[in-house]
Amino acid sequence: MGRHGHQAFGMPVAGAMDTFSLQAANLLVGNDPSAAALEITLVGPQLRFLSTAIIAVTGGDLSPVVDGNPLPMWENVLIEAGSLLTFGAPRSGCRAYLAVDGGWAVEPVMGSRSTYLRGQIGGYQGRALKDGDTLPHHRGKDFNQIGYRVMQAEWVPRYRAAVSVRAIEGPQVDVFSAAMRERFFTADFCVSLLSDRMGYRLEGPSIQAVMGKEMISDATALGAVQVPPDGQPIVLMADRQTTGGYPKIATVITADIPLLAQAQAGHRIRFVPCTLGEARAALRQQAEVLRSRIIARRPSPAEVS
Amino acid sequence: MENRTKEQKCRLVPMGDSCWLIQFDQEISPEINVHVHALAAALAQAKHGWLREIVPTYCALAVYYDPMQIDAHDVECYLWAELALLNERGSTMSLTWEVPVLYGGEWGPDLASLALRSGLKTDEVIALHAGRSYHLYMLGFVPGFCYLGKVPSKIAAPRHAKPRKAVPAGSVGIAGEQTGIYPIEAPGGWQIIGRTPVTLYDPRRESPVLMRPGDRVRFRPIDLATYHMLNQKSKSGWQLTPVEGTSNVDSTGHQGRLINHRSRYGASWAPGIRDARRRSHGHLFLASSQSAGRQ
Repeated sequence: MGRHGHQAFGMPVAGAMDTFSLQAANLLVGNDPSAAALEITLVGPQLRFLSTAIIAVTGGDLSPVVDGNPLPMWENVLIEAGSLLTFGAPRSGCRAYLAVDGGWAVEPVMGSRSTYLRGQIGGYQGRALKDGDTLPHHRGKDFNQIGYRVMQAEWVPRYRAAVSVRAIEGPQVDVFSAAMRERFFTADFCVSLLSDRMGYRLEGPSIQAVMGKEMISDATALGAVQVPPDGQPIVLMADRQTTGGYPKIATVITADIPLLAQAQAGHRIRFVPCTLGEARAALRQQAEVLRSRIIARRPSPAEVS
Repeated sequence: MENRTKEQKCRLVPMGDSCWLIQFDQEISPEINVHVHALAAALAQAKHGWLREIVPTYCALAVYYDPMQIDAHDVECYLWAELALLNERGSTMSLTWEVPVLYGGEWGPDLASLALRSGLKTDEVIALHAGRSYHLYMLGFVPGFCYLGKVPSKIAAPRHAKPRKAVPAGSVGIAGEQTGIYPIEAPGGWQIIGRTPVTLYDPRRESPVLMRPGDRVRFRPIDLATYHMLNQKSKSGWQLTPVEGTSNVDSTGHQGRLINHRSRYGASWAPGIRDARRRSHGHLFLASSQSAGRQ
């Protein structure tokens, strides 16, 4: 969920790109929603389980497979020691979240277990995992306590190649003419290949600011859309810089960040204007889904053995 | 949404559904910056559960809150009330740093074009950039990036239209009237005129970030041999030490440093920095009873 409280020193928040999927994965295995989970982007690892564990995979569908059998997503599964979890072709979305009972055992740094790659802190030794790493996890609740859990099908997010995200006008919206704002809120933008955890660079019609002088740098926020002079907007994401000097035309609402986080290069983005009240209602609804739409399910015969 | 508090004109604008940005007069001046830090200290003091964090910058203050705990408009009203209460608390205690820089060449790829644009020789740009000391207005962007100002207007320059994907650690740049140092490799649009061999951010150090808002920074041109020598020293753990500490007394005559605001933002390593500073510059901490009472 990120490293809060240190941005005044320039330390980015980091944390999961898609916090909805992260929380769902944790709740499915009986964890605190903000426990440490693995974020797997497009190309998945091969993971051998050294002991029995309860896991759940949520988020983008990267074709997870356990010992040759497709692994159902958005539900918890008991994995035997020695099993091999692999991933294949991305089918929808681009980031999968793998939670394990008890949560991955990594030490918090400045109050968070989130990896911040550029700063080399958090997560597993401040870096991405590589071949041969052994990742311990805390022992979670017993399977009898948790039971089989599943996210109700109608509440599982659908990731599409064209995404509409709601946004509130940004702090420097004044430097954009009415025509430019109109263009921003009606155009289709394409996610560029240069997008990463720091920001999504978009390609589309040029959005030009009219500024008398260089803007004085100020703070940023998750989802803030900054527009450099080349007119191509950048949406700031989890590893965003804490401050910046490009004018911010809008801010994507918190509830829609998870959907945006699943968009990949080539996907289309459209911004829809939104009010603070609507943003809060959307966030509350998301919290309600996490609270009440993860339900007990009847075990299938194969899993009872 | 405009109002006046003391001499400062303010505007509150939402930055999404979980942040209000308080914009003061948009100019780079130590007076406004001191005001920003004073308000930051006052807000942090209250320790509200819904208040996630506070980020002071040159002339704006970002206040991040948890929208699940409080309504945006309640936060807005609260901030207006705090602004009305704000009085001149600003006073600073600053350290002065001298940062060695190798200007031009592959270390400062934009120096030549910046000189051309300004109608100056590269040596003149260097002399102007290194010829004054700068106020450190804020940290941000990435860990330890310091925003310094102002540069002489002759060498002020706009950012690149398209930011570079990777600017090397230590790069010294100019953006508008600001100058700053990239502590780690990061994407960026600043005009890069040189590079320092000093390590500004080291996650293994007790205090990962060296400098603080309110400090003074000046640049010292060095040659390639010195650059390589200091680069080697940096790799083996050498770190820059301040050349002096000075006490600034603000316009109200109120002395002392708002040392407490450092820990108030919640950084676990802030006390370490404070203690290190106390050890080496203990006599410089003239915290008044007022600021001591605000610990």
